[in-house]
Amino acid sequence: MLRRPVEPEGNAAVRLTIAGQSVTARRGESVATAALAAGLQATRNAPVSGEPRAPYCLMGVCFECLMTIDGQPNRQACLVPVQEGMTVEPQMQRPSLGVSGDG
Amino acid sequence: MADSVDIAVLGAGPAGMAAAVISANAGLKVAVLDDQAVPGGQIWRNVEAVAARGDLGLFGDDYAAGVDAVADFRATDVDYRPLSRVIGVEGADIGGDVLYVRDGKAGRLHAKRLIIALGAYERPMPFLGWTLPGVMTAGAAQIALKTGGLLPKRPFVLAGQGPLLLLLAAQFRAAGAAPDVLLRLDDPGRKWSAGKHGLRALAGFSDLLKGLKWQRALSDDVGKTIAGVTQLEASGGDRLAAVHWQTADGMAGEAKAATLLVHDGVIPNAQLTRAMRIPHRYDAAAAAWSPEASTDGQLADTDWAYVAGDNAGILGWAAATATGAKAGAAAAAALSAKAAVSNDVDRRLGRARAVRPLLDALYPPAQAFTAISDDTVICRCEAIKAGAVREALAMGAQGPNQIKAFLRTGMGPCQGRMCAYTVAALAAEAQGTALADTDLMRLRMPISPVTVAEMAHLNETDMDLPTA
Ligand SMILES: Cc1cc2nc3c(=O)[nH]c(=O)nc-3n(C[C@H](O)[C@H](O)[C@H](O)COP(=O)(O)OP(=O)(O)OC[C@H]3O[C@@H](n4cnc5c(N)ncnc54)[C@H](O)[C@@H]3O)c2cc1C
Ligand code: FES
Repeated sequence: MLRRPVEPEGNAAVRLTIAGQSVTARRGESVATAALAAGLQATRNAPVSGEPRAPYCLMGVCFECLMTIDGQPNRQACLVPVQEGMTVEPQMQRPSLGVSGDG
Repeated sequence: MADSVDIAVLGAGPAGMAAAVISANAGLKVAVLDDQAVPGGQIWRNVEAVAARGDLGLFGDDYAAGVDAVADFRATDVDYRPLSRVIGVEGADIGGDVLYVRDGKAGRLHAKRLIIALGAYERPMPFLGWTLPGVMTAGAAQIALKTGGLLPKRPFVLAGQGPLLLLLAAQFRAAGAAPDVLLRLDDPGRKWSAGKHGLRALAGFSDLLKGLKWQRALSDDVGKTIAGVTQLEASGGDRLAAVHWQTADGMAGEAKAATLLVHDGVIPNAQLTRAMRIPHRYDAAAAAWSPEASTDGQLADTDWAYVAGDNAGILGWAAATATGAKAGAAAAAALSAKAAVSNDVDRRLGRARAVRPLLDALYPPAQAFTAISDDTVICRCEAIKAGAVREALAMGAQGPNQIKAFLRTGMGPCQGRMCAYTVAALAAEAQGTALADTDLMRLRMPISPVTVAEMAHLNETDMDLPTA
């Protein structure tokens, strides 16, 4: 849904790994926008219905951007700035049947 | 040793920065907590870096005004704590603690006075297919442009209503990505009611001219504009493929789309004040709930907490700098420090207040005249559809709190940020009551999920433990 018209260079460039793919992001942007620009379609599956979901608000409101960042699950990727060497994974597990923790 | 300040300011947008600058200049010890990496809030997102890369021109004068405001804020000795997410407040009668998470650890900050300036967010606008990847808010895309320099993929459809929608369209156009299709969900009957507010709005005349200028610039480049849209739908398999619409006069249309951006105005981000049990009032003109407060921003039922900026009610950034300064000065005065408020403050506030009734009348939320079908997901976290809510209401659920207990709406990680207004509207619709007589569902702290590991860093708290 989003594209990166100009590749960041020099000091503005941050390299990280998203879903196993090495990508260049712009310093100051979030992991969520870097994932979208890298062409990742969905960042997670909805826990209840299992449908694919992607970042919706990019400002910490909707919680659709929950990803695993450097091994830590359920981080709000839109509130985490990109950092050199980060490893980011989408959360595409199947819905867990009948179990959903208390809100 | 306890972490303690005179004044804690929550939010580093126009309001929070103004409050912090004025109270720090009065000689007080001030800390500012904000969940972003840099100061500026929503309007002035990433403004320092955008100025440095020479892209200010894309966003207009209001955005460029942020350069000086952020520099003034940086020049103070305020203890600025970025990447700090506020999760709750434990108030005593006078003074209290702010609980927040920074860098994977929960922290507690004691403050004698509290200024809450957590801003606004875009009014959730549920329609069929809005959960598909490829659909996001227009404000989200603006954030991606200001921070990452990203643009919407084509075909690009922009849909919704409000002055910000037009501003965003103009900004995308300036960045080389005018929408291929612009769908305007303006109220078909609006011209009627707007007229009577015209005179009072003259004071805010330049704001209106700005809107007209954007509109004119847009019509040159937008592929096609459809006015009077009353129904919107996104379709696709695993992601967005097409957008479908219907207009008030029965015309239907569709377009292929890789990106659909939607916007239906903004509402106060009142999660914290609601969780604090401050009384909230429904403002019918703004179609939004806001916390009750004095003209200085002092919150009803508290002696130590103030609210400022769009968090208190939507008035825009210029007013936010004014209400921020007023709250900062009032909090400083309560601590016997003298703050100098410029005369300009009341003029700025008056101007913003004068133009507001016209804006509210011109741009009612699309939801006011758009029907939500039973198949539409209204709670994204728990994937609950409007039909299920209507069924619960028909079976006797008394209002938003019982719907929450029956269906779990508002119990996912977003804690009702995305569904609370819609649930209230569906309840009012079923019970034939006015929204003003309907409550939003109750909220508890923490206002964002926290993990056991994060909480382990706090010694004691009244809050219930983990929800992540
Ligand atoms: C997405 C979006 C884009 C906008 N763009 C424009 C624009 O281009 N032009 C315009 O005139 N108006 C815009 N607005 C309207 C905007 O609300 C005001 O112009 C202005 O930003 C309000 O200032 P404020 O200080 O009240 O709040 P904000 O600027 O919103 O500042 C609030 C700050 O609090 C932070 N925050 C929120 N919750 C927490 C928490 N729990 N813990 C820690 N920090 C938190 C936010 O990240 C933000 O930095 C936009 C609004 C939104 C929602
Ligand atoms: S995209 Fe909405 S919370 Fe991150």
